[in-house]
Amino acid sequence: MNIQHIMGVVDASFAARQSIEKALREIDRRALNAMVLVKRHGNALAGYGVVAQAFRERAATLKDSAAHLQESIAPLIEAYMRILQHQRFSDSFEQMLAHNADHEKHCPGLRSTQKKWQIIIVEEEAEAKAVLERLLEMVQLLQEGIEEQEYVVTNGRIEAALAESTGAPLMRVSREMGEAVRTVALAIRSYRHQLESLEHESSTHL
Amino acid sequence: MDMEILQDYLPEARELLEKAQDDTLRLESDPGNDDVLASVFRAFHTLKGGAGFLEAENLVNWTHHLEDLLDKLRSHTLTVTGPMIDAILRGLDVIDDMLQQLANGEYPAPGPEELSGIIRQLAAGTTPVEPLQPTLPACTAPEATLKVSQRATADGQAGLFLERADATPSPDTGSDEISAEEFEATLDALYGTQAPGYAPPPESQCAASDEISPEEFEQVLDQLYGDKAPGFDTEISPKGAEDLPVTAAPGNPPVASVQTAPAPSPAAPPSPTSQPAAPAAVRGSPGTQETADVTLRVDAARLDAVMNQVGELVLLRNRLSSAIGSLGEENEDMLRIAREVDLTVNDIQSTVMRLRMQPCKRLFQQLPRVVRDASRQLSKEVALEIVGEDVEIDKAVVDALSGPMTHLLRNSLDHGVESPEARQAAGKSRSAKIRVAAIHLGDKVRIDVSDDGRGIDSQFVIQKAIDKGVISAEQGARLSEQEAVELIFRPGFSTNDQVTDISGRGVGMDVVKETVRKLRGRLDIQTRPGLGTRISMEFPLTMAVLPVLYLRLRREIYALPVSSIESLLDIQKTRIHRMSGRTVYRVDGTEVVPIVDLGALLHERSLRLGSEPIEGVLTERGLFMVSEVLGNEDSVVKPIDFLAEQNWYQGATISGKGNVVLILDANALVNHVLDHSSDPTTKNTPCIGAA
Amino acid sequence: MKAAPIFEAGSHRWWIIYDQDEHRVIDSNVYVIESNEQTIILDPGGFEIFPQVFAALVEAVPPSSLKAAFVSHQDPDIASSLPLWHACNEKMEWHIPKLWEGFIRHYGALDAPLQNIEDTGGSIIIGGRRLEFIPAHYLHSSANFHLYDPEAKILFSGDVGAALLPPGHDAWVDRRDKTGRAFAEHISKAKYFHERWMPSNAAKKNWIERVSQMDIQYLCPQHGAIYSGDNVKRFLDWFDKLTVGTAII
Repeated sequence: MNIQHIMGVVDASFAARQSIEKALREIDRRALNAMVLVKRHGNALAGYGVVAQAFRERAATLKDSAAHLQESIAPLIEAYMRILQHQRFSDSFEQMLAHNADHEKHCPGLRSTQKKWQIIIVEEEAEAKAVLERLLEMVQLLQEGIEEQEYVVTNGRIEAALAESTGAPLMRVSREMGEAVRTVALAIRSYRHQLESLEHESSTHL
Repeated sequence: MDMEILQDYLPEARELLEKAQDDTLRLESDPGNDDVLASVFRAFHTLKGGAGFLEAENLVNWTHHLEDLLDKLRSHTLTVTGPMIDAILRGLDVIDDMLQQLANGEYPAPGPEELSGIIRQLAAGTTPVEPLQPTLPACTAPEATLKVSQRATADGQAGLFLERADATPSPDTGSDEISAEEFEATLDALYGTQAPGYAPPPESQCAASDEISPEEFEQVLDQLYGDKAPGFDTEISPKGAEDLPVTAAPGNPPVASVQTAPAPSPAAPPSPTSQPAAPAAVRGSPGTQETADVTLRVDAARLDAVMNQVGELVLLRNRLSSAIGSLGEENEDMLRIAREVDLTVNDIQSTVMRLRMQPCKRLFQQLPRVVRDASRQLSKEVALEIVGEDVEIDKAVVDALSGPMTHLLRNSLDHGVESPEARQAAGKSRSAKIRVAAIHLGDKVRIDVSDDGRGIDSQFVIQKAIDKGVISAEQGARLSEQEAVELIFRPGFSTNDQVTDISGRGVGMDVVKETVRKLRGRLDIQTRPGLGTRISMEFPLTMAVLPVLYLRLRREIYALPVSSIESLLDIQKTRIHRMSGRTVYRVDGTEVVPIVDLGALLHERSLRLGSEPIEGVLTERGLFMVSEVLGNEDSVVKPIDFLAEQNWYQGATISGKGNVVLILDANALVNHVLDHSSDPTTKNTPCIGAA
Repeated sequence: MKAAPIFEAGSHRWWIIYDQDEHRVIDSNVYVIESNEQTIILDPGGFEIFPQVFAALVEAVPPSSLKAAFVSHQDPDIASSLPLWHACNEKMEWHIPKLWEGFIRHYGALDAPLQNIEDTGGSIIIGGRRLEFIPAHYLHSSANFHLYDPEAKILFSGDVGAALLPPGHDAWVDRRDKTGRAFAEHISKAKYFHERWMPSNAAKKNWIERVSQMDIQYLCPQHGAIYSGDNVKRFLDWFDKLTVGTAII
């Protein structure tokens, strides 16, 4: 386990989470904005109203999934830090064993304790991997949600185009929605890459 | 003769005539019946009013004598006698003749002198009394004409009372114990001289088979132009080959008034709710009654009651949705039922809303008379142009706005329009132009009153405002041009002035503004020195339902009408600036708006960017800083009665969660901020009683 | 453990990481101050609870923002996590009482950058904001410091004000209680701790005099809950009257 790599991932995921959170807020605001716009134009934009409603509902779902994401990150980090902690025990026994070997001493108790720690660490690594995989599944769900949202945005654009003269502000809102969704999509993609690099490392390690 | 008014007047007049005849016959057997006497009186009064608009002088005179007689009977100055009944019935026959003449497009000849003498003698019978003075339409804004009749208080939150609906008739409708003035005002408001909604025209029945009917035509035009189909005179042939005058109704006189132009096609496509009952209907050829049954006259109070009930239904619907939304588990059935209830309530809502829609014509029809009288009195030459009479708007607006409209026109004539000589000297045409236009814009209707007069001199206004103590000299020095011009809407600006006969009348522009505000509208003034002034009023299409945006300010929830919202923003610190004593927000390259910190105004504690969540709601005139924007809902406004001296709330509503939520008045809040921002002593305090 | 914000003004924030999951060791609070994207961690905690503290910390701030740690005294519940933090971020500087340097090195990470705080106190700049090390010797350790943030008006008071609370406790001593009942209830869980761990009435008196002159909105102890507003004054008055340490035995 490369602790600096993990730190890098933790840092990057912190930034990704912030940006996802911000973009999700933005999505929600855009959706609400679109609904306000629809209301202001009476029934003329009823078609867009349906889209805006769908957009806002999805935004709420996305927010929900993102919150779950948050909840599963803490256990992952804690698991890695537990490994770091136990690695130190393992390392100090390793040092003692090395020291004893230099002085041609044998101490079977020490070796078995060292073994025990190594086993614990391997178990903990497997557990961390399982947590990581769950997290990746969740990210996958979030990504699917985003894809649906992108689809809704496309529909919104079509509706906006159909709304002709009143469509101009809608086109703008649709564009902004699209941008917010793209921001989330990018942030999640980069987050996923970081998690996958951890997964890759842990699997090569095992 | 205004054919449009005539088309509306005739069927109503005939109806009144019939009723009056029945009533008169009943009087014979029941001479002391006050209800019947009042009804006959009302008939003559209404007939007279309409005839006045048509300038059918002989009909006016004739009905006046009868009205006079009935007034005395009604007030028991005289008692009903047999000869009186005879005379009244004969008088009715004369009116019938006169109506027939009108229907033929002629001004009625004077009534028979002999009968007229009898009627006058009868009226003078015992003790001659001064003839009844017809009251002029009052200039005051009728107070909340749409007064919802119910009054039963339920406890609101902390110090506010909320009116809940029960059913008692409102004092100004339906009761017999009202004064003559109230009576007339009610009649004017209810009927004017126009029957609301008249039957389809006969042309539809006599159209040759290969020609399309006017209705079909209207439909095509509706599709093409939205609901602003310009009318028969501009119709195009159905094949679209070339522009031809319509031939569907030979013998039907061209009816479009020279002064009346179709409303310009609005930017918004037609909203089904705003489609006039059928534009063709009001243009029906005179003298037809066979389709009159299609229209049903309904007491306005009943309509109001229905609206109230729908309001309650809307609130219940919101609560239902909210309750279902908060159910732990998803229940497909429940969700579907909720959705269907939602749709049905929406439908009922829009149907009821449509019931209450009336064409602006009802509002505008009094104006030519106003302009004619005032221009004569002032020796000014004015041509009045009226646009968009067919644009429909909530009855409440039509009712409440008639006084303010009259005032605006008089004001324009008095202060805006120059004398013909002065106009000539300024290189303008001798005759000034005043334009009144109703324009349909999405969920709003805009009514413009514009003139090409001298405009408003902001320096003059500032000086006058200082003289009257409306503002201090120091404040005056800081005002922008626009702000200076808007001083004319301040209370105290135009009242107490030397009251001119025309625009004085003790009613200031502030009353106009207040009326607009009460109708949840927006008032805007634009003036260009030497070129003219335009006053625009924007009203929601309907008063029945108010779409609101719920927002959170720390732990409290408020609502803001969606109609005042432009967009929702994420507030960026770098866009906040101080400009001449005001905190402003740079929305984009061109738009800079004042910031309204709701925390500072309502909590006496500014929202702190960075230390607490803040979101922005951009309205047309300012950016509102709130803690969080929550969501929107179609809501129903309940009037509130509370002791705050600040008029920052439009009313209250019940949220989906069943809580009382105050509805903010965006304009009032922005105005407050603008008024107080440059004064360092009151900057961040919500100065109680400082308005 | 969980992280909760206790103060926020733009880019200036304080967090508390509290309510430990591991109950075999004394329940401790860890505080984090963030200023313009730089952070300092106050009494980073024991070796055993490091994984939870770290996981909770990165909910609030990114690990790369960690610039420094403040160690009020040498106890293991405060500083034994040093080698693990050092493994995560070698550049983090450790501000410790000079007197305890040789002791603290025993926790491991011999090459960690330690910065000594002289007996008279000192200060540190984090993200452009000055934080003060306030001497609090013999409360309870013979070389002991507290940390004051003059802008936020928060005093981190180490073991002073500590209370032994059950799991699931709140971060605050009830802030809305005007009667002082909540304080009285809370302080009963702090009494023995102060009587037994604070050795000297003289040191106590000295500290109260010093601290009474400071503008303190929140008083944040390393164990238990935060005192705010009126409760700060209540605590100082209570502590002033309490007889401690050598005076009891």
